[in-house]
Amino acid sequence: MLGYHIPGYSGYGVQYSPFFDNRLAVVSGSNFGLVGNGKLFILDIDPQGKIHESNSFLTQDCLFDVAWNELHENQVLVAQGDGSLRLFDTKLAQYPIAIFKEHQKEVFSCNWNLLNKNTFVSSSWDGTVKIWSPTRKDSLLTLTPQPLKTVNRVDHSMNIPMSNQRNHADITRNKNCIYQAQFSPHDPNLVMCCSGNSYITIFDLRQPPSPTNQRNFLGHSGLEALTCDFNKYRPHTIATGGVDNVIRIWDLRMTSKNNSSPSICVNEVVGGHELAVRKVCWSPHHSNIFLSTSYDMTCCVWQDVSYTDRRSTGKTNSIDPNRGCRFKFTQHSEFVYGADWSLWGQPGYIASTAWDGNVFIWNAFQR
Amino acid sequence: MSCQSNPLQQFVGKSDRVGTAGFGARFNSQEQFPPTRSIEHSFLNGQKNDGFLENKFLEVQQPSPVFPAESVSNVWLNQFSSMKLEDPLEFDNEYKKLYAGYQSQQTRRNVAHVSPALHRSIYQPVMRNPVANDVHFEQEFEALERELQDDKDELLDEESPLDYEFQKIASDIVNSTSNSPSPVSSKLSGSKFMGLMRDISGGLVSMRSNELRKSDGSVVGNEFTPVMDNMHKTNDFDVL
Repeated sequence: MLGYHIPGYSGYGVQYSPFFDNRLAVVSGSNFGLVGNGKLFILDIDPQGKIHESNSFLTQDCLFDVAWNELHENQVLVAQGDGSLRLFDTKLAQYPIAIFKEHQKEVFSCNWNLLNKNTFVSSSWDGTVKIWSPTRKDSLLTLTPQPLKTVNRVDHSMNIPMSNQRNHADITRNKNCIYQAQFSPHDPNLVMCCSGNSYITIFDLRQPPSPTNQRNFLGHSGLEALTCDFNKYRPHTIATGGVDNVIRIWDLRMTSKNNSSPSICVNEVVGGHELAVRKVCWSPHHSNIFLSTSYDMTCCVWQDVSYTDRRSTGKTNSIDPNRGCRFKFTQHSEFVYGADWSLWGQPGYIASTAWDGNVFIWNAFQR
Repeated sequence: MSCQSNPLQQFVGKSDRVGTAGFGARFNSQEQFPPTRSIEHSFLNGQKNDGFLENKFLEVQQPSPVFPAESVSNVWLNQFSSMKLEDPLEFDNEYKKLYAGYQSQQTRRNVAHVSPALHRSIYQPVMRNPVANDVHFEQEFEALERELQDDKDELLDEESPLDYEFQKIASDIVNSTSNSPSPVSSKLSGSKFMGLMRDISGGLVSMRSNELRKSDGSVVGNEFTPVMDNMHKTNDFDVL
């Protein structure tokens, strides 16, 4: 296990560079995101296994997410708490090379299109998803999930500590907040997002903005859906995680088309985490392995037992004594926010970052 | 810890107090506390009730007349009662008699209850003696402002309302996690973030202009550095 500590900052997101096998970008917020600046760190792993900071950029507000430019090895995009996205060049110091400011509220996620590599997507607390080109100041397209009935649970309501900055205080009360948006790795015109109203929405960018360009389904029993990810091998399979502490796996072909009946997931991990699930991410090397991070300070690697050898098994993770858990990483001492699979070397290397200010690199398959 | 920093609640609280100690003081005791005879009792037993009513709820239901209403009401009532209609669903005479008694009590009571001076001050903006009323209102407003100012000073001595809200959020986080008997709660108890939340909820650390500070003024964690919205000029975009 390799480690690096960013003093005074809490890690919110981490991503391996798609160009260099030893480079990571980490975004963070000052003082657990309570008050103060954000900071982007560019970390390099040297041949001796030591991690050192090759560059860093201080920002006015907390940084929530990071995405490397898939077309340019030195450019990295960050999602900032003041509603802006900033593109930094790792070879330059201090200032960004572009600022994209259209969102009215905090930008929670950003993701670069892996197929049509000259676009990226962002999602915000203002309830919109925006598609951008790095060459244009203004967004190409703004997507808004249909207004849907918010399901209120009568048993309890739970506040998740997303950011504790004073001006972010209403985040968890806003049910239209879009926590994550992502391009499909199979279709450059497909975008998925998950919202505070518990709905997962799929947009088709080829269709004009209308109610027919999107499909949605209730993902997490009315509680916030915090994260979603496309399976890299199965175009119709996605995973989602939420405040109900559950990870669900869905086959988009089996989701309800008109919301007349609730969609039913094909597999789920119940009780795998003790607190809300912050991030899920499918392995780039396996079609049935994914990782999850949680507010319970752990990061877990799971096997989706419903799919083996290119076909569905009809089983769920409930039949496994460990619920399909293949590895549990417990070294973090605060909420684990970000994690990413390494595309390089032996499969199984994962970088994770948490509010303890640590960035750890570990292998999920080494015993 | 209760949340009393809401200015609206404070104002409502003040208004209540003014209502009883301020304007209320102008009622005489007889008007405020009418004799205790039940209107329902007299109504049901067909007794004539010349006294005042006990039921305060009826006060609220009955709008106070804008002008001395006895004569007008009586004219209207007399007109109405003198009308002769053949109605098969008409109430019987006994009921009508009782109801008439009830109505007259209500009218008398309303007129007697509101003191004429207050009556004018509320419903007639043009005063016969504006100077005297102005003096009275000024006194009332001064008293109200003094009360509000006193409370404000007390609040400022401790912390601002936003800090109070911040403190409340922190204590909510601490309470929500400490009550859960799960294995993660032991991990949470050792968490520096939860420690900070406990300090904030206990008032040891507070937020001051983008920084966290202890009560002695020392900064906790990172100091804030303002960052300008400057950009590098680059030709990289031409390549994309």
